[in-house]
Formats: sequence, structure tokens, C-alpha cells
Amino acid sequence: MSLLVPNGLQIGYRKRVVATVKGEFAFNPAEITLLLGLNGAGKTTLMKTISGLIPPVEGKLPATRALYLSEEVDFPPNLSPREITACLARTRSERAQANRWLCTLQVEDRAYGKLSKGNRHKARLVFAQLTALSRRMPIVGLDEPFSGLDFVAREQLIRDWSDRRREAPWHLLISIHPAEIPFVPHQMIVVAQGEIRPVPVHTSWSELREMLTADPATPLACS
Amino acid sequence: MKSVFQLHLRQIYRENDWLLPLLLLVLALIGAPLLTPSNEDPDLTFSSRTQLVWATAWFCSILYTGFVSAKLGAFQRNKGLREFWRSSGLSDHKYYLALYAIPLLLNVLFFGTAAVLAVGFGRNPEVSVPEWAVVNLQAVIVAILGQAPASALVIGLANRLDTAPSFTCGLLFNLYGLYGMGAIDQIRGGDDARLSVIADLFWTVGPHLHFADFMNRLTFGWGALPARPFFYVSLYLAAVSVIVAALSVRLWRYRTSR
Repeated sequence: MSLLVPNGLQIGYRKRVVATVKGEFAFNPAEITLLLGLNGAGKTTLMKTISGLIPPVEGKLPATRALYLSEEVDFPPNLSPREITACLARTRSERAQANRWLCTLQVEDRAYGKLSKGNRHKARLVFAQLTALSRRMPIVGLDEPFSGLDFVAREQLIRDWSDRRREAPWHLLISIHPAEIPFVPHQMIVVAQGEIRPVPVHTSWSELREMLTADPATPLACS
Repeated sequence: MKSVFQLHLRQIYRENDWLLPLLLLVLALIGAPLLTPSNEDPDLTFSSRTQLVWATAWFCSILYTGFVSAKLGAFQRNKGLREFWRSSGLSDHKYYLALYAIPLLLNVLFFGTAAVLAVGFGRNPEVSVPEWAVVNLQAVIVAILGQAPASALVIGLANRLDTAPSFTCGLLFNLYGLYGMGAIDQIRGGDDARLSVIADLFWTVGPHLHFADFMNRLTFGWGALPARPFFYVSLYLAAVSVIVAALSVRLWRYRTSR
């Protein structure tokens, strides 16, 4: 089932508007959307709004379920990733699938708190995918999933997600630094200058930079 | 809900801290005769064992279980798990209940162990085993019910405060319900009419957690509480638990971080 984000939807905190949707867009099953924007532009706010964690300031979103994995989320430090997946999985096959993901991403099987930052991050991504799988989430939002990952894990994830675009039922919504676009997604959304708008997936870096900073020639000025 | 419960139950289990209260209970059983003049009166051995074991169970429940409740609640907020679970579709109520079940289980473990030790080693030979077992079973039930409101409150508060303040609030709530009520009762019977009226009000509101303390009944061999009063005491404590839990669920409601 697709989620249609209507034109004019305002997102933010309480009465403070962070950004407004300009132009409709939809999150379709088994597709990937990249969310691009500078720090503080409203990428996380949009993800939280879609996940139902904060209500829109103005306008309405159709009711849906969207799992949100923030960068800060952490799991019990004294349990190993396999123990955690054993708790999160509802069936043996889900558990086996999660363990395969852990294996593919080369996540060590020792206490989560003792893993390196990168391994913890990889484990978190597996936990999110497992939760999405077991709860049949239509949308999964990942906040900066590539930050802190080595290139091997990054390439593996890209390969995995690219493959799963055909198999996994959920829509992947990924917030990412605009200079690090790893693959051609189904959809790209730019959050900048208080606006959220879809852009063509083949938009060049210089065009993106212009949209993001509103001034391609000069660096961002300090006030 | 099941995932949250399993995840954090396993977390607490793997920390192994729960072994310490069990060890303390065994030490209390062994050490109790040393603290009483049991040479002069051998019967004192049994009552001192029972008293010290049960006092230790209460001590562990108030401190350790209270701390675990606070830690579990604060962990969800501090580690971003609230947002993760909420976005997965888990309601606040189910989330709260999944966590609340863990301190209840810990109390079952501590008070259950205390009862087993008291039945096994604290029974005065003059009292029959079934009679002694019934008193201890009653003590377990009311103790679990008596400690349930504090755990409920602490988990709810941990969503707003951090570990230490929410634990402290739970501790104060326990002390007020267990011992503060005794002080209020004394004020009620005092000469100052105005103070008596206020004390009456506090007495009416409660919570009378001291009903859950069967220490005197166990130590002085008063026997089991008759069925009807026991039912009312249990009902009262269960009602307090439900009311406090209902208020705490409101405290537990998800709040945006900004």
C-alpha cells in the first residue's frame, strides 16, 4: 500500500513549522527514496512525521505504519546481536533471516555494548529490518544509515537493498548526506529552505548543491 | 510487546545482579541465629530466621526492584527505544505493561524465595507445615501486591525524569505507604483537632502499603489471616496498584523530544 504525502503538508514541532511539502509524492512498496538535506533542514522531522511520532503542524497524512530507526537508538549492551534478534523475531525463519543478515554484514557475536561503533550500527540496521519483517511494516525510515560504516559494509548494504527492492515489501526511506548518493533510487526528495520537494533521480550534484544552499557560487555565509 | 518483555527480561537476567538479593536471603537465613540469643531460647532461631529473611526480601524488593524499574524506564527514553517501538506500532499501554511485568517477576522471585526459606527453615515445630505455608503464601501475595504500585510509579516517572530521581520517588512512596501511614495514624489520635482532620484526610487517601507487611504475623506466630480480611487486603492493594499503574501509564505517554 502506498503512502501519499500531500502538497502543502507542514511539518515541525508544535506550532513551529520546519518545512512545507511542495508537490505531492508517494512512498510505494518495495521502492527506495533518498532524503537529502543539510543538517537541521528537517529530514529527521519528516521521517518522524511519517512514522507518526510527531503530528504535522498543518495538513493530514493518511494513517500508516512506518518504522523509524534513529542514529541514537541503542539496545541492551550486555546482549549479543544474536540474542537480541532472538527476542525480536517472531518465527524461526525470521530469526534465521536476521542471523544471515548479521553474518553477511560481518557483525561480531559478542555483547552489543562491546562492539565497535560501526558494528553496533550494522547490528541496529539488522534489528530494524528484522522488526520491519516480523511486523510487516510498509515503510522503514533509516536516519543516516551509512554514517560510521566502512566501505565493505556500505557496499554490502547497497547490494543487499538493491537486491531486496525486488523482494522486500517495505519502502525504504533513507536520509543521507547529499554528497554521498550511493545508488540511483526510485525517488529523491530534497529538504531545503523550508521546503520539501521531489527532484528527478538523475539530478546532478551541482544542481542539488544549488537547491540545498540556494547559492551555488559562494560558500555558506556565517552571520 | 512480547519482544520488549523478552529483550529486557534477558537483559536483566544476563546482568546477574539479581543473584545478589538471593545470596543476601541465604546469608540472612544463616546469619539470623547469630543475631539472637538462641542459646537461651532455641525457639528464637526459627522466628529470627523468618524475620531476617523476610526483612531482607523487602529490603531487596524496595531497593533492587525499584532500581531495576527506574533503569528499565529510563533506558527506553535515553537510548531512543521509545521512538523505535512506537513507530513499530506498539502502543504506550502495551509497552508499559511489557516493562511492568519485569519488576513484578523479580518480586515474585524474591518474596517467593523468602517464603520457601521461611517454610523450610523458619518454622516453629509447634506450628504445622500447612498452616505455616499458608501464612507465608499470604505474605508472598500481599508483598507482591504491596510492591506493585511503587514499580508502576517508578517506570512511569522514568519517562519524565532520569533513573535516580524516579528511583528516589519510588523509594519515598514506599516509605510513606509502609511507615508514614503509622505516623499519620498517631497524629489522627492527637489533641490538635485541626491536625487530626488533615491527618484523617491523608489516612483516607492512603496508600496503606503497610497492610502488605506481614512481618509481625510471621515473626510472632499469629497464624494466617482469615480468608475474608485477607481477600479485602489483597483487593485493596490490587486496587491501589491498578490506580497507580493507570496514572503511571499517563506519565509513560510518548512525548516528542523537541
